[in-house]
Amino acid sequence: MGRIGVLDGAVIVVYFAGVTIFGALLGRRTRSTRDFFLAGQRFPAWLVAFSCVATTVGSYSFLKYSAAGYQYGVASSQTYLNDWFWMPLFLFGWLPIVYRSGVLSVPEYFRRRFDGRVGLAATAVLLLYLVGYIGINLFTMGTALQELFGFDLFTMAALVVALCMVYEMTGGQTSVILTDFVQGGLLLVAGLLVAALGVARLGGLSAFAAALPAGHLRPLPPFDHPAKFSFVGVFWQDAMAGGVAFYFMNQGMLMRFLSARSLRTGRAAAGLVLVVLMPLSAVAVSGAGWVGSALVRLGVMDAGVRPDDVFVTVATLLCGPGLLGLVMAALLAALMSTADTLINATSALLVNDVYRPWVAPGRDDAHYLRAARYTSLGAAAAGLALVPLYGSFGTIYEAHGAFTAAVTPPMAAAILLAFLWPRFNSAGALATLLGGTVLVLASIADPALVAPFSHRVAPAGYGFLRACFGLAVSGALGVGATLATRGRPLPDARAFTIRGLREHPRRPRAGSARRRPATLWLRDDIGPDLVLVPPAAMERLDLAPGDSVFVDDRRFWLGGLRSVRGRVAPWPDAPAADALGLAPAPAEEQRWREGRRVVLERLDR
Amino acid sequence: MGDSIQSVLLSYLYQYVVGGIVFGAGIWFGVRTGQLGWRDPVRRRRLLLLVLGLAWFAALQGALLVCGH
Repeated sequence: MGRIGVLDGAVIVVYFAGVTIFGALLGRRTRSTRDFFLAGQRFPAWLVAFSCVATTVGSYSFLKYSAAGYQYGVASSQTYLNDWFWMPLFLFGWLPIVYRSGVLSVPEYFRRRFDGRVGLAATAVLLLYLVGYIGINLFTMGTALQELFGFDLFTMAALVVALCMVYEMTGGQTSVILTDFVQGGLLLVAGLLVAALGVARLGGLSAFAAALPAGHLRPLPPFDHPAKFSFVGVFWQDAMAGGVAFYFMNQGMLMRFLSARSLRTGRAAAGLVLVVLMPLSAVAVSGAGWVGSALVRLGVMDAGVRPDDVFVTVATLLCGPGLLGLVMAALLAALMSTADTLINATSALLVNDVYRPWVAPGRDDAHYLRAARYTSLGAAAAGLALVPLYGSFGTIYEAHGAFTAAVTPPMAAAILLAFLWPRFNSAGALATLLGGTVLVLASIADPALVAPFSHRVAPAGYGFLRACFGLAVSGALGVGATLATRGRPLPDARAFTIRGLREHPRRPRAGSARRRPATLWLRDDIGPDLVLVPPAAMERLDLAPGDSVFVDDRRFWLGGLRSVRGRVAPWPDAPAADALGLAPAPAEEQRWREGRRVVLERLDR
Repeated sequence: MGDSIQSVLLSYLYQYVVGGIVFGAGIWFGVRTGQLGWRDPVRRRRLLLLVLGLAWFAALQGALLVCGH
């Protein structure tokens, strides 16, 4: 075996086998593309939020932020604490537009907001980005497993793909969210555990703070230096461009929030992620670095440790056999949970934005579900095929990094202009996407282009400030092209902008209950999507006939796995005040019998 | 990292001024679309939660800024 002992290796093997079986079993009731891509839109906020953590904390996070924490201290948490600025626009602009319009992806949004050309351009750019990203994740994971177990890189990457595909092809998004929930919990616990063990070893929080090098408790780095970790560079790359890329553009995150049972639940999940889980994640991924710098200062740890190795070195120093295996499993869980999300997201793009509109329109849902399963496999295989390439040519790996940096600011600018500015037209969108990408690529070839946006940062840090340059030039191109052309957006495009929200406001319902317990009655004379509710209960929940409701199992910890979504209809002659009528088929699918206590929940109108 | 507090303070102010513009634009759109406001209790609660969220991060980083010096 490689670097780890037999007990730690066994812990890792058992963990991954357990996660794979868990994901495959719980996702086996996937029946439609809505189930496969949006998990039937049934999950509560806490489940969506925890699964988001596993996606957020992805490749490199533990290694990268521990290295930054070791070198620069608490300032390494900056990336995890500066997304809140986007929340009003995300929660009350982008999310309601996407949720109410029923789009499944950013390219579909562009196709319906503008036209097929813009949708196609966005599809091409995002597919290249996603498949390349899957390859990078698999490459990173194969490298890590090769180090730990001693087998060759490609074999380990192929093994990871095989494990992912067992549950991904069975349950799609349901399996992805449920396994990511477990993986997110594990990586938070493991990261916090390493940090806590380090603080305990140092003699408590006061001793830890006293042992940190000077300036390591500061929450932010200096404004314009060092070039590779200046505040302004990290701010523009991570908070401004990265924030939009992650919450607005990232197909995996978009599908995650759409998997919530309602817009309200999606908003609650985003709030939970940002306010609670991101600060905890910041400590989890950076903690080993902070502890490491204190341990080195006190002479407990070798000062010659490389920053990139600090997480593994600190974990090995502080954790005994078995526990180290769990921490290493968390490190790999972070990678695997990002890979499965990317595979599902790529499949959604291929089916929804390529196969359904251009290759085989008008087929039934079962056909598209089969296509979704095969495209998942195809996306994983394409990512796997890139692994040897990344391994052989370091420049390709770097080229993908450059491509990602080139794509993100134009896409972010295009999304913001598209939903905030109703006048923004397809010429403007194409100029933003294509012209912006070309200009950002030009700035990679000639970094002097970034100089006007450098904020006095040395040229070595221009890579970070490229986000500022990219957002500015892409936005300017889009505005210029829109004003210079006469093309007007399609009349129904207003529904995809902030103006649509203004013209069709949905008044929040105050003062009425949102959930109430009910007793199940089976009615074989109604359709499978109808939920019968007595008029008094409808009044108490402020429900009108036809409103969407959610019937959930009373066991909240099932996270909506046993639930039914339907349209409410009045039941004047209901046998009891708390009765709830459901057709036998959906009840049997959830293994509910007549007389079972359930919870009726009102969804957004 | 033995830099003066002024440089880190500049980082803090820049973050909350530029970020505050983005945040303020979001609040403005939220109010214009009738999702955020002051008179209605639901809209008011949403607005307060958003502002409290920003205050939480500003306070957390502000406290570290003071303690870290």
